[in-house]
Amino acid sequence: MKVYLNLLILFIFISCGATKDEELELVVDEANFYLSSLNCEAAKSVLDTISYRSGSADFVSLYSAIYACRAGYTVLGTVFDNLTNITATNDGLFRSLANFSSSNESVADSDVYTNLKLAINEILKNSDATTARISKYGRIKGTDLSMQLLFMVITELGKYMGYYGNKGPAGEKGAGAGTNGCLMNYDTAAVNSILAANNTDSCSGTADGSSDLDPSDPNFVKRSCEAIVMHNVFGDIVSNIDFSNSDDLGDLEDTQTIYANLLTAAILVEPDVANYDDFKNFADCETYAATDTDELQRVFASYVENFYQ
Amino acid sequence: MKLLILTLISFNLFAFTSTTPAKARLMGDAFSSLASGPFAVLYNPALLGRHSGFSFYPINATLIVPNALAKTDDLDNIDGDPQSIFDLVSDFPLRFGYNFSPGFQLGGFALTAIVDNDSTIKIQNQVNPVLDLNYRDDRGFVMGYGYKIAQNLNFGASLKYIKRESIDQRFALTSTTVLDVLNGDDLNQILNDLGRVKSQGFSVDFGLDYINQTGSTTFMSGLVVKDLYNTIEPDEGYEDLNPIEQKMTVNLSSAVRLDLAGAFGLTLSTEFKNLEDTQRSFLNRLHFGGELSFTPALSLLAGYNDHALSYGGRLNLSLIDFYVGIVEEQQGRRIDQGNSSGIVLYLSLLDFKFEP
Repeated sequence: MKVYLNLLILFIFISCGATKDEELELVVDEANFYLSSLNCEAAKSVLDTISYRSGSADFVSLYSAIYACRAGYTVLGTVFDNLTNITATNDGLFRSLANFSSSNESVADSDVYTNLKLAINEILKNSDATTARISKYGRIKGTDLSMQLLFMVITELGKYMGYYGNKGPAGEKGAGAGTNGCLMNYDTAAVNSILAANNTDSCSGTADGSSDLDPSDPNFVKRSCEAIVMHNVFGDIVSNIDFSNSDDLGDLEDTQTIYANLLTAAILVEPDVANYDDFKNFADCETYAATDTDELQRVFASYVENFYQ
Repeated sequence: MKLLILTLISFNLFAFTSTTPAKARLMGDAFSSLASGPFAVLYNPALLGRHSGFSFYPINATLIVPNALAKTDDLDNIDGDPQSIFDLVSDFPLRFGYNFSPGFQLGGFALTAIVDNDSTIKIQNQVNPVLDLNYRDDRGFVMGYGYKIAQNLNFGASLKYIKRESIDQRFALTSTTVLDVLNGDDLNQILNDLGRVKSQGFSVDFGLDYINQTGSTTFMSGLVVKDLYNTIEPDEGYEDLNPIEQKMTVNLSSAVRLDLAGAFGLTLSTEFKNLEDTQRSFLNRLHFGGELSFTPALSLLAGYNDHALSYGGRLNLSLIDFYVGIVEEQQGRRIDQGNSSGIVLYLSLLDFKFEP
């Protein structure tokens, strides 16, 4: 009996804590559990009990999902019903995104929009390109992160186009309750010839854009770069992921060709688009764009405005 | 191929926890002082010190399937869209399993085969749904010896050999990756792409068992260190992957049995599991169980562990021993994540004992 009690006491005292991997596994499991019921803050509290693990795709994915959760975003509720409505044509792609049921912003930089941007940025700041994510996290986890990012980006692009573009009942630009026919309220005549290259939309020239996307607005560069960077991220993902086995993803597979066509056309009309089409990080874009807002307007006109009709 | 793999996974999802017999499940797994037959060596090798003569357990099988009855209301509300399906399954981990443990005991020596399949599928995270697949298929054996080291006190040790295939991965449910993997043509490649790891090795358990009978009352207590030392490592080619590990656990148990008038009896047991795991909550590690016997042939069993209840009955007709019941299991290690619910069935045939 004495041996028995001594052994018992020994084992109680040598009981061990979790290793770093076990800690990570525990918090990932618990954060996933909290996000099942959209308890965003409880999930964040759990993740914050350990140090930030940029090397863990699960951890990065969850941190991003927490911001998305704060935006009221869920893949099944926000995105999936809209996917089958994506139109993979040159003039219909962004219009179909603007026509998503989630493209319902009524002010610039709403909490929903801002939190979803934070969710996007959380993945981008850890690895900004599809190939980099696969290289860092492996083929399955890296691709999973890219898909999580893609769904958020098309949702956010839809919100962006819908709000700044004064969307109409079918998502078409310049046909809503507002008066603007363009996304951006250009103040340089250099954009006129660029916009003229696309003469089928509602945007005809300067001073016809959203007042929230005006060069005089302190948030002008930030908001302009949001569209450009999300544009780049969208193009990067659809160009590097194979959707051929995924029937539920609608026409996403065909957007690869559309994106390539549109990018080629945009560079042909405004060669400086090539200075921007690699930015997959909001901060990098803003730093560069702040030095020359005329160039920013020309690039935006060719690369974003002309894409949305 | 997709259908084949899903069928394969579904078939293989018949298991709960490694070699846990039905009686243990129905008693809240507060069982380390009560295990007998082919399971004694699996729970605490010191229990073998109680045995005498020759016992043979040729056929026994445990089967666990999800308890769909627990979700009948939610099933009625399903309308086919992905969100309602998520709502149905997100708080209801699917646990399946089977095990076979034929074996024999000769005095204090025992040998039991291990055929144990244990899987859980869990869907979590409404924002970006993930499928958590935890699959384990063990084949091997365990042999052990228990003997009396002092009055009422037994000591035992056992050696296990386990050959394991396991998958412990999370997949984004709305990503292309799972579909890409399942669309492959080579079964082995598909399982490898899902993260299957093959591993094998030996593992050693030690235990102590105290038993004291006074009149019609028997008091039992045990301390077991399972997998104190093990050599289970990934096979060649799987070194970069993480197999489901065989971690050391320390369990402390006690039970009291009252043999009352005639065949009427009552057994109460408790077990404090995973003494070594400070991450788990205290309640999560504390197990209670009870058995009420009306005749040698019929008894009722119940157990409790951290808000999870189990209950069922046993019919013992000498050469046929049958258990059926409902078992719940708490999912969270540190926080309450709700219970899985399963139906457990156990059938043992042709057990016999020869006492010279």
